Amino acid sequence: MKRLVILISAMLAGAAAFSDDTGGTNSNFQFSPPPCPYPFFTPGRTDNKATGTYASMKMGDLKIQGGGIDLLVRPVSRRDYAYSIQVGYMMMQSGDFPSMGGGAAGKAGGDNFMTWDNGKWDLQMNNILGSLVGEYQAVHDPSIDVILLVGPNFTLGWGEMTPDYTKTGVLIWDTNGDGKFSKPTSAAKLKGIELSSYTVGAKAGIQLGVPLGPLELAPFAVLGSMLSGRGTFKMNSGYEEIPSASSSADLPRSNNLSLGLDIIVTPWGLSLGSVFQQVMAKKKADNADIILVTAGWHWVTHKPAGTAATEGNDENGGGAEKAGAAGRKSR
Amino acid sequence: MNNKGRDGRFKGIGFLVLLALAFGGCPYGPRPFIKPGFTRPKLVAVLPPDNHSNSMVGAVYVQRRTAEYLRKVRGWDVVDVVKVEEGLRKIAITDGGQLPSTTPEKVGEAVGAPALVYIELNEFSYTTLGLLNVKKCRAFIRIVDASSGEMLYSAEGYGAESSTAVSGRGAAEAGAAALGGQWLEKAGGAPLAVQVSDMLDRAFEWLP
Repeated sequence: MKRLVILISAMLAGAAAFSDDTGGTNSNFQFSPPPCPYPFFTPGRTDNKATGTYASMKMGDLKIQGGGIDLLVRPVSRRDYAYSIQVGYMMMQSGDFPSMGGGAAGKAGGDNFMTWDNGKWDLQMNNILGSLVGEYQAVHDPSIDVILLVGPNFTLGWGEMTPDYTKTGVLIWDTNGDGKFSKPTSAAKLKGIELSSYTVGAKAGIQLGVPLGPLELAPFAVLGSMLSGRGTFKMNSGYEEIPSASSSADLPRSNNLSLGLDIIVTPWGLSLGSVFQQVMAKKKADNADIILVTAGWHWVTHKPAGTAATEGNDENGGGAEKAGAAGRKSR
Repeated sequence: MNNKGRDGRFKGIGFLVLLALAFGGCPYGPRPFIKPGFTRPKLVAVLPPDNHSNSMVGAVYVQRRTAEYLRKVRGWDVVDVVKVEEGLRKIAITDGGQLPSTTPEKVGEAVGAPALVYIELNEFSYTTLGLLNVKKCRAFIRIVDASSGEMLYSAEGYGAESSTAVSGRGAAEAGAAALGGQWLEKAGGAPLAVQVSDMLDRAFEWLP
């Protein structure tokens, strides 16, 4: 117990130090699944999960659809240690993304030009996210589990917004007063706006598992920090004499402390936090027509005895037979 | 925050505190037992489960997976499951439910192993309701010294996973996904594969 108190105190002190470093820390409480969804620490076990998602959202005139894939691999390297690698890709696109309308006006090659669109832009956004989380099972006995988590993460996003000129065309006129268009109408089309961004961050947290008979209480605290990030906005005029405009900005560093809790109905493996999140998401989406189809496959593999790192960490040198006792922590 | 919201939160916290005081630290199922000075048996036989579930396939699968787990993951010497069944047939046992009618000593002689793994398979099921879909496997496992009948180790293992939906369409989608997954698992000869892995990892995690 003393060790547990020290560990929790160290985590909280670390969290406080982390937040002081950058000034602002947002915090929130959430009733949701805990950050470590597979709390197994059997050496040689690997949890693998592949999830495919198709999403379509219609809200008024706006319709966005897309899909993605998410891969998770979580090998347990020792009796107390595991790490998980997660990589996800998501693409969303819309042919009817609302714009401000109008477009751009300017002067090029002695010509005044003006473009406008019909208020509908094509949008395509891509996102890749990845994370590596190291998990340390600090305390494990039938009465309580304590898992500490730490690791980096990143997001990469890019996309393009393109005006839909096919219906309205582009107007260009000259100032010579001869009434003739001096440029082909297609030349001055605004090709589009390119957007890109990246963020690099890290998170550290603690997750407890306290069995309450047929329920399990899983409180957790995770401090997430966005350490570096940049967003770039580039406008491609598509007109050779009009330079493309580009601007970039660093994203401000931020910290977010998430305090959360889940209650798991053990006999069913049912996360009440997950149900609560579903209910809240449905409430938010009540005025939107959302189709979300998810298909996932979870499989578990075990390395044969002797190939897992168990033996190397056994202080007693007794191989797999003694490794369980050697690695176990108790209060 | 308004008073109503704060009161609701306090009531929620109060409920959790009461729950923690009443059941705090009580694990789901019986606590594991390990005989002091436990040493790994030289050879074990995994006996057919005493099947309290509604699944015949589940009992056969759990016996095979348990034998594989002890052999591959734990590195134990395990008598082949086919040989165990042949040995049991010699003493007129064809089902795990008949095992309590005889002594571990006789069973050990019949299967040729000094230690026996008894499995009580309590749940092995898919429940697909759409709004709630549950896959679960639960078994109580004992390792017994065949010559003395002494219990060397016992623990309960379980594996359970749920998916839920909160709307009619969501229920249809979740139900279809659950049925599709169930069909794929059964077609692949590995029903409740992840839940059985979870059950075995939990059942044997306290084994030295």
